[in-house]
Amino acid sequence: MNAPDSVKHEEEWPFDGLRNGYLPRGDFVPPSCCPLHTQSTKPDAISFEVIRSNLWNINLEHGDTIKKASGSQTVIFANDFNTSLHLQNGESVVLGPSMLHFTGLADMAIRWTLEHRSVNPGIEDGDVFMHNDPWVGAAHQQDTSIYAPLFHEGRLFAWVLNACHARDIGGVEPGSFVPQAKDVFWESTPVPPIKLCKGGVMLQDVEEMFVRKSRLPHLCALELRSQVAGVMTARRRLQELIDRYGAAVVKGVMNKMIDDCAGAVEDRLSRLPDGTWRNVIYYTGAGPGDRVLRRQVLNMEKRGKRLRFDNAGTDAQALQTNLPPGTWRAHIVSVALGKLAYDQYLCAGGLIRVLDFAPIPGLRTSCSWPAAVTGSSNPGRSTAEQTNHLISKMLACDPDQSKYVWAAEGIHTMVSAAFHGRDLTGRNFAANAADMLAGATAALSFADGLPAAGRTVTPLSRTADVETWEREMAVLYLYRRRQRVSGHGKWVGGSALVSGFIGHGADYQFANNNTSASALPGGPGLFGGFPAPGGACFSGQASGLRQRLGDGFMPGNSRELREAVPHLRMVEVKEVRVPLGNDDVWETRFASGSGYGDPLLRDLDRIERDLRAGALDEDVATRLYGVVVSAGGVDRKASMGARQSMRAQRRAQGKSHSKVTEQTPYQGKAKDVLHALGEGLDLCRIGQGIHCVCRECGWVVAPATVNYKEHSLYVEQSLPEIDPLFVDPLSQSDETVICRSYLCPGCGTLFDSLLCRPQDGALWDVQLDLRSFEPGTSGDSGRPANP
Amino acid sequence: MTRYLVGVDVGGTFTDCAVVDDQGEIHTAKALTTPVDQSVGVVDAIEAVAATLGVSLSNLLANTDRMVHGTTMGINAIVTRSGPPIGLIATKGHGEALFIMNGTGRTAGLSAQDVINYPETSLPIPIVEPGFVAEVTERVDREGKVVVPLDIDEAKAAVESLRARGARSIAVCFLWSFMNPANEREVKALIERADDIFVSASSDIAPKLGEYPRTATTVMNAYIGPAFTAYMKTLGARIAESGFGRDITYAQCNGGVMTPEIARSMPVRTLDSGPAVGVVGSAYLGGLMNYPNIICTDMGGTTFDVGLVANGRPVSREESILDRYQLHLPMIDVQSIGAGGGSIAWKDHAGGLRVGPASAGAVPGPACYGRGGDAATVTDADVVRGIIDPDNFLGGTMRLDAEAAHRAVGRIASSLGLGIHDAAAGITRIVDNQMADLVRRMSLYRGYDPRDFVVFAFGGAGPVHAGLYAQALGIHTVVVPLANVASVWSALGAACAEITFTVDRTQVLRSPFDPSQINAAFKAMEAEAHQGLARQGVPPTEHALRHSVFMKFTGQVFELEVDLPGGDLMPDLAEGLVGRFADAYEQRYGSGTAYRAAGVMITLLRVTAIGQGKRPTLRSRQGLENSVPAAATARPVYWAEAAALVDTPVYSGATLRPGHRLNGPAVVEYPHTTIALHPGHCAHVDEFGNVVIRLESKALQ
Repeated sequence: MNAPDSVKHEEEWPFDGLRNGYLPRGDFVPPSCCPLHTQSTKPDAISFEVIRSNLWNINLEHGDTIKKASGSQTVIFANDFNTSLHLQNGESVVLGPSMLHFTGLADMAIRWTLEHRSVNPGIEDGDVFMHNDPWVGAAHQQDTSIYAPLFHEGRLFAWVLNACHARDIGGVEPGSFVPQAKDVFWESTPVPPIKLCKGGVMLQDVEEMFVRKSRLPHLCALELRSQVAGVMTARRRLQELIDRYGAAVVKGVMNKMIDDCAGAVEDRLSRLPDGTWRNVIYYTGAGPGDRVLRRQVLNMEKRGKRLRFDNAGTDAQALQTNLPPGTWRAHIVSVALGKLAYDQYLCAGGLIRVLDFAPIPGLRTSCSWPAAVTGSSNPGRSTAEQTNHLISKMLACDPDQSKYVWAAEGIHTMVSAAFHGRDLTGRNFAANAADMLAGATAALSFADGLPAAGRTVTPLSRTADVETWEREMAVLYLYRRRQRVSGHGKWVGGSALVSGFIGHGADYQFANNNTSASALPGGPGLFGGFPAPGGACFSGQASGLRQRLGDGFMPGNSRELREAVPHLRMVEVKEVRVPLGNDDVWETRFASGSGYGDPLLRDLDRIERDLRAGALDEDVATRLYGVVVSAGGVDRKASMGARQSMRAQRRAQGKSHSKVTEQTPYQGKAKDVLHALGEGLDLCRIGQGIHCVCRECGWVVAPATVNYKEHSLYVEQSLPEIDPLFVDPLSQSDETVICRSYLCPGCGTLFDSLLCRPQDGALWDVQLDLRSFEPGTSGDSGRPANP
Repeated sequence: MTRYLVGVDVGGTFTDCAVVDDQGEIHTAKALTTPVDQSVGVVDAIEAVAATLGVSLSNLLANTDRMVHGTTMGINAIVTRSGPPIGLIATKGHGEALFIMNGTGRTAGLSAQDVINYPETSLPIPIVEPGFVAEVTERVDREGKVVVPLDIDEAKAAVESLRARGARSIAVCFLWSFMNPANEREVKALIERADDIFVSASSDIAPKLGEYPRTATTVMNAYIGPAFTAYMKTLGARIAESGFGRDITYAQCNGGVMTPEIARSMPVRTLDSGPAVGVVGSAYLGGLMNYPNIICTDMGGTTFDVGLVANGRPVSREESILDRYQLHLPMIDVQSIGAGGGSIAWKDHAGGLRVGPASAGAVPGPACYGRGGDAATVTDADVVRGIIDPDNFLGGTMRLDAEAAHRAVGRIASSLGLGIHDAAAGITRIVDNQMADLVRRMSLYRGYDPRDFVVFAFGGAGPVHAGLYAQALGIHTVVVPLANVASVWSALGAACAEITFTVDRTQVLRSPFDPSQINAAFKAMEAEAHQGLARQGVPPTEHALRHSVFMKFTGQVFELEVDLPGGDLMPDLAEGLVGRFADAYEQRYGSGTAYRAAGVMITLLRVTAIGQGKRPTLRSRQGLENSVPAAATARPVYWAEAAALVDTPVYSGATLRPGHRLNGPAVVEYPHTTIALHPGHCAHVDEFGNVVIRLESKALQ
């Protein structure tokens, strides 16, 4: 299972969890000293449903127990935790609905433990293990996993696991994010899997060893205990289920859940063509002051009923924003669950059975020891968006599955700042006003994204009230709003929040910017939709505002804050210890969701509604949507004309990678359409060949054997040209990145928009395997797409 | 002359009325709800009871000491968004709180299964149109200090602009107004000068931390206010015409009642009052019957509702979710899942059998209703199993199509390769398990062991299924309370409810606590509570006050209400408060969870004011029968325990008398429900007329 092709030649397994992050190898044989329970009876339909529902609820109760016992804001507001239930060999049966990627890692921690701990110290009834080792399976050291085996008649029957983000686990910065880290030794020292409880009793020496690392030892102990209480509860409930129905029946249900999920995903994949999908994003700001532009690549290959992911083409690990390979895999799993297995009780095990992972060690998304990893959220989010982008482009080939096609959701740049200090009552505080977690969803293939509506991969995350945050920190919110700008397109992305503060009641206070270079959006638009601005943090010292508040002046939005504090500056990437005293101001702007489809295809009624609601500027409506505004409304007739002119203008200005010659549009028939190829293109059989054809005008763009982008026109614009809220990439990077839109030479409709350097060639992002269109192969369902 | 207490509960389909006389006899009736003017149905229902009593409506009303009214009017207006355009005035910079919803608008109140399916989720339709929000310069901080003074000219302009756009009702919600309401009150006074506008200020409606739920609650109040006050006026006039000389009181979601004066300004408190007074009724009547710990379950057509009574008191919560809006509305904690008689059985992608949450509702309804539904539902399964007699449904007033039920369940059965009875029993088992899961969450999650409780089974389908969902949790006793009255339980509960309100003070105090500071605050609150009771016409002899504080560990989220004895808080008790809190915390959240090292905070002081008026008594029958009655008839019923059709005695509920004993398997039929007595279970009718079912303590198989 999951054997990386790229390293097959090596004799020793490279993904050992020490030098390189752990990945399970296919030929694992559990040691005989820890016999596994494998007896399984096929359940009847009724028992299956009853026990499956019980397993789901046991896992939810596991999560509830942690919430109750920890009382932690991180767990309750941010839902920065998750729970899961596993087969004896570690395969995931049920995940909880919180941080999905936490438990996309869970099976690996268990497999590693089986491989390395079965003999010494042994795995026994009543044990509880813990670890927070990113090279075994944690996003960063704060994410502490607690997990326990359940034995039945002397055999290891199953595992229950939870992982929670601890508020402080040591390292040189409070909160344990270390933006300036050069390697893992600046950060909290990871703890590989160790035994925390024996015979159901917590080992005090082990607990104290762990808690001693924290600046908040009492909270750390409480969080740890809540996690132990969680696994104890889940293990007890599972035992009751076995007592009630018998071990073999319960195991039969667990096996069937995994089989069913794998079957459902295979079925969905079998209706799609084979091929390879690729995505490149650019990033910088891997540490304070870092301006080197680097690439993060994700490639996905679909063959029959399997998907394989690799990261070939990604730049080497550097500074602090590195992702261990297990976490890279977990982010891929977390997204694929919501797009391919959304109706399968979050049964990650079934999904993982049809996925292969082949990362190359030592890269940003598969970093090796001793890279710094507390900034792994940035490459993690990007990996999640890349996965979403690739699977969306694949699903778009089947109109029946296009409901699960969406662009990048908000928060792709992980803009985040933590406030630390002491208030006037002498109380110390450390908090992250997690307005980021209000989120913003992506534009779908059939609807706009939703503003401040959370995220799909952390479905239950939320922020708290302004009053709650003001109670916890020494700030006064000046405003908290939804931004006006998100990703433009036929369907627009949801918009994320912007929050403005002034220090208030602080004895002293400072902010740490944990953000990478947010000028470069971490989530692309889809099929001609535009990306959304990546957000940023801004600071202004000695603003003079404190005095003016008393005089009755109060800035109520970003514009007014800038008018009042003209020297407001963008905070440097990973800048730490920025003062936030009682006359200092701060603004955090989060990344919104990106757009879907050509903006010129957006319904005029919607544009008029957006204009009237003040959600769209006239200037943008004219420039991007080709709308003629009159008396605050849309002049429909004039707008139709304006849109035609814009298409003509695009074609006139369009450049191309190779020569494009005039042609007579193909007047094809529906039966010729083999598959959709996204929003604007179809794959059609014309004569003996298969071609990419513009759905709007019938222009035969290119044979399907080549990259259609080579034969399309393209236009380029700088990001601030799309919208002034984009930060100029050159402010954070040595090289620029632009938005390049590929369009139909026949009618000027946008096929796709991507972020690249001006000198980049045409990325072959969708390379279908034409053999799958031959009759009898998996990819050819014989199902004509809607032209 | 006989005196009466009257409870009325207006539901979507029926208006129920329960009248308790001073002998403890209960008389009930139902009338159709009249949607255009609900007061017509209210009078119809009372008149129907009068008819059963053989007295005139005016005679009954003239001898009525108290009338309590529960209604779903507010909730219907919100769910259907049929309210008028309303305005919202907020602190500058924060007018979007109601739309941001702390990022929970897509997911709040949904099941985890629904939340993960992104394309199927959406945001709720806004209660306030975005163009109807005005922001005004003003700012108060967390200490209640004014940081930015109110710009009164801006406020005037905001009111004028909202009014000009047609807002008939305006909510005012400023940040930290519960710490310092001055700015909010000033704007409220400004609006009150325009007498055609209904005004709601958040410091009156929901004076608690959290501007989003406070705003949402205030806005809901503004939304239902104009229509509700108009209805109160109509109802008051109609009832007065019919001969009732007192004020009608209104049921609240906290389980108490309020006078018209309060109801007029706080109609939001009537939301979900029906289920709430149902639980209050259970607590009160359960007390008379010696059941201090009750799990109240109500299985109707589309939902299964659960509430809890622990140590004689209904369990409540401080927040609730309505249509994905989070509200600061203390209410009796009643939780629901989509499991009812109409829940549809279906086959999933992998060939598994599932039940619900989709429901066939009343229209088209289960297949056996013969209204065009062809999906197999829980009710169809009950018909196939022989529990429900198609010829005697709703007392024979509605004939069920047994053939259709067999066809529908048969289709599912054959697609699964099962026999029809096995499939029907399977549907039952799945839905019973879902309900058991909800009861488990409601009890164990709150630190209560369900085995210390009895289950009260209400609703048309409750007594059919309670035997199994109770047994799955190891509960020994199921009570079908006053079996013939169970179908109008909320109306009866309303008749049992008392005037109740709370006086809250947000006060952030850190341990060690200064008792004089707490006592001074309580003194002022007590005075306010007594004034409030007096204003509601409660004579001083009937005033009862309960003191409590809300406490939390610093750095943690959960607050817990800790009861205090009345009178001055002595220094030793102030010291002991931390210990009492920690004990309560561990009882609720588990041993070892109390984090004393962090320090303890008081966040809120509360005085609960109760007007202890006249409440019903229950008549207890003497001379019990102590016999096994003769069955009216018998029919084959499929019992999963026997895995076979068993010829089962069927009793008519009307013939059962206190002292009668029954052994399972048996079926007892009432006009509005059916009791399924499983093999191995037995039941008796107690002195009050409750059917008490004793279960074997064995797990659900």
